[in-house]
Amino acid sequence: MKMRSFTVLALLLALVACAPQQPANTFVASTKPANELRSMQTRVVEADRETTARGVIATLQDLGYRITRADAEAGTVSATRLTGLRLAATVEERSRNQTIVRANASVLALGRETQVDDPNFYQANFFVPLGNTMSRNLMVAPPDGSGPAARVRWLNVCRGKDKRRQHPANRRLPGRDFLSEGFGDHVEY
Amino acid sequence: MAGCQQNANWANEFALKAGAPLPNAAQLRERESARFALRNETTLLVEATAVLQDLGFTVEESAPRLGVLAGAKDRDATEVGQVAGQIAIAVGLALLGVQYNPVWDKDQLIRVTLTTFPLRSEGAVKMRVSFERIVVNNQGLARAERLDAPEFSTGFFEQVRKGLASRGIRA
Repeated sequence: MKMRSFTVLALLLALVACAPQQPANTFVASTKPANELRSMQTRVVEADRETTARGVIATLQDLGYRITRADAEAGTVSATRLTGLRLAATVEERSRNQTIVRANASVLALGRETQVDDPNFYQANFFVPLGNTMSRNLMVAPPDGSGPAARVRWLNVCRGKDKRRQHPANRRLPGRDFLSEGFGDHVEY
Repeated sequence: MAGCQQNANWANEFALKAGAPLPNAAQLRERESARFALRNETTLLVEATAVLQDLGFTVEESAPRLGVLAGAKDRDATEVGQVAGQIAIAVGLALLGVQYNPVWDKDQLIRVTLTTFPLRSEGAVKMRVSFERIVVNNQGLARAERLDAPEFSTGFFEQVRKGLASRGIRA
């Protein structure tokens, strides 16, 4: 009986040792200065916090993102598009009728999550549509208008990621990253 | 992969391309939206949650203060016709001496994003529902698709209205 238990234990240990390690996604942060990054990612909206948060959600849905997380108290919204592009936005009250919106995007591929630091992306692919959805002009935030800074980086690590990874659609397989999805012919976005 | 490593700007280039606004965004919004004549947004969200559960979705996110619901469900994507067609092609080509690996859809993950927006001046609530799916074929390759045929959203709204009616709410 003891011998059998030992054999089973040895087999289990061998299996664990041979199992492929699932590498965690390493975050590759932008190398641009913090004030430059904050400037491209932040705008001021002439609206209250709740209206702005709802405007952000409507804009993301218009853009084809899937909302993965929304928190009214924290003022955060996380969303994913094409499984490889993630965007997290925070809304923070600046004054009675002004809200600061900060967006932070990253691309998930090849076991890395790389921060997007092109001002054209934030302007053309988020703030212009947000202004159109809300029918408001968005203003560039003054240098002191510091919205949420470092914490935004981690917001798009969506809840339930581990559960989703178990699904065949989310397993890391050859050609299963954004290179096959984003630029492939069959992607309908 | 090597190409990505050499081009330091690859993430920005991908984000600019993949994150561009959809050309048919306005039509999609109209197709995926409906107006419900009731003042209580929470009542509508509760009914929408029930319908999603009836349809087999697991609710993954619920933020009623912002009018957000998100869910997902797994489904087998195998279609007999597609498999039979692919095998027939493989057999036909094999007779001609050509090797062909038959490809068919195997698994799919269907995701839903549902949002509500109160139209206070009209005493109504607007709801929008978007579906998408990720399909993995028998070779392990995946593709993402929007499920934007009108039947998906209209069928969903119909079920929500029926559910509200069963509770004595006309919307």
